[in-house]
Amino acid sequence: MAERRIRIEEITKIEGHANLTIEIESNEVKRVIFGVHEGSRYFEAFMKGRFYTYIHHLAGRICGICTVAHELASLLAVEKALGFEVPDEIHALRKLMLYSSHIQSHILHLYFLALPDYACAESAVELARKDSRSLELVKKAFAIKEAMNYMTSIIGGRAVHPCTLVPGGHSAKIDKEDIERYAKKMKEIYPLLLETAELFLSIEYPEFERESEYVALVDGIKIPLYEGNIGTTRVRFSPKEYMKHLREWTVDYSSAKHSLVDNRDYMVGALARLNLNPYLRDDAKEIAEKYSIRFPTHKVAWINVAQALENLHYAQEALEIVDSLRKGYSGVPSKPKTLDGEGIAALEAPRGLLIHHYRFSRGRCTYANIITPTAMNTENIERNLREYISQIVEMDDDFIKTEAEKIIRAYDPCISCSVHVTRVG
Amino acid sequence: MPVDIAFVEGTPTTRDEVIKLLRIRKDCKVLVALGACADTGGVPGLVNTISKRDAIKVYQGNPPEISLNPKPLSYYVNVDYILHGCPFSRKELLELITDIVIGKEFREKEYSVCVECTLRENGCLLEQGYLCMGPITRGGCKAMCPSNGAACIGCRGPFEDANFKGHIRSLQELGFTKEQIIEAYSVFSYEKLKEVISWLKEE
Repeated sequence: MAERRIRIEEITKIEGHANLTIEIESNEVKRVIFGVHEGSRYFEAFMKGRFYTYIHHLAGRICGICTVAHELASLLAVEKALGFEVPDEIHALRKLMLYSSHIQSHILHLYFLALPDYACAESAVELARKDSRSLELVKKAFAIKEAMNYMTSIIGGRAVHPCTLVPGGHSAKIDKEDIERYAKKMKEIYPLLLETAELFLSIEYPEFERESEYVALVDGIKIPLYEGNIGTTRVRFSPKEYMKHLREWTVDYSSAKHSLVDNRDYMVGALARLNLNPYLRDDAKEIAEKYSIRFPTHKVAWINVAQALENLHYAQEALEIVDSLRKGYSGVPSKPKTLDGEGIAALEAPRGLLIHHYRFSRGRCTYANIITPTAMNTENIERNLREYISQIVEMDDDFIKTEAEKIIRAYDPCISCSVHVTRVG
Repeated sequence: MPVDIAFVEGTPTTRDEVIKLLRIRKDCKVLVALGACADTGGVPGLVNTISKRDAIKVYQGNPPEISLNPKPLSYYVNVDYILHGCPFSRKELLELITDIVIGKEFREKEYSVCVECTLRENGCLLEQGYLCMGPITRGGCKAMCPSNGAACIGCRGPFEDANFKGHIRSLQELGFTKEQIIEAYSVFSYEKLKEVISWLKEE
């Protein structure tokens, strides 16, 4: 038994259930355990044997917040495996959904999960009751979230578990008017995204920094979400080679896996994307300069800053795509070229890199492997906490707890995603 | 502290969660099962279609501790209301809360997705050769998927008087194999449709 043990039984304001244990001896941090205690969900096991048309529907159910990312990563992997030809308009439509769902997820995290820590409130509900200014903030957050969900549903039929995505195409006809409604809403809400960026760039975050590896999609010209190679600060590789670089293992105290890239612990998500892709568009760049924000940075809590900047960037990216889709889309989904094959897709979910990998025989799934961002981040979370707590070890338990939670929450961990696979006893 | 309405999403997969659920039941006046997982076991309930040995096989290395089989919440506790679907309908959620508050009886929709689909004047996807689950699936979604050109996948589960045999016969006449029909019936409602599925397997 350690001399000093700090335990958070249930970390609140994250997606799902996790706990934290810190063991300290003679003012030295001996162990930091970020434990995930949700039951295993065996998605990869019951995907086996299913016909390819069901796979993305099942994958989407891994998570209700980043459902668009899961469905898309899954579809892309299925389409690669079975040789679908997917027209450019379809990819453009999907990107629109991905952008609005990213912003939706970032807003949920920034205002409802992260902000209360910095506004001395237990929750967004308490925050809303504080004063009229805080109430306005919460209302704004809802307005943005609602707008983003509305935009996702224009293309996807609905925002949670969109129903229009099918292998090789899109089941619904998308009119010119639909695309215009999407663009109009994005323009309407853009000033609120600017206000959000101002707010989250002006917050004082823990100064803690530690150099680690970062992993995100890269293409050398943009901040890619939908396609690209996988990059770190040292190497670039095709998604097909993910197994050569990413090593996953299980630990005895958590149902989420841990992971290293080329033997280094790494971070995925908004900060990793901006650290590896210095291509923010003008508005985001300007506002970053105004607040002297520079990337790359190793300040962990700046994940929040990165998300707020990404919102602006993706809103503009989406509006650019809208211009290429002026005619709308109506077409019949293409057919698979083969019913046997293997496909790997890497895509950026709001919380970071997401990999879906399947094999099919006669149209039925024979192998499935899904690596989620939170599982990639767990090792990095623990190592960063260990380092940070060592720096503040002389402070009292409550202070350490609060600071540790700030760091954990910055990652926006999604436990439901992380335990879609395994629980180790 | 007792609460008026407890909304329970998902279904227990660990013993601790079962205990938590029992405690919630004790502490609330009205318990609502929110969404397909709470209603039928949902997509994670698909793991009940395979053996635990097969489920664990996909993990190399340390054999994982086994989770509980996902079951409908009603397997563990009395459920007062169910909001069906994956996702559940926001409109129905508001209806339910309003009804509880004003003391009106909330009624389940005891009719199929086809009723709402026809009202929206969509062409029938079954007739076009899609494996559509509309005829046996509970309405209330305003036929969301068929209205977007996609066959119903049955996320709201079956309604009370669904004519399974008629539906299965139509699907067979359209050329769908037994395997395909069993798969479609299993995706969202395996726990609810076990009997029909085993009947179909033996047929």
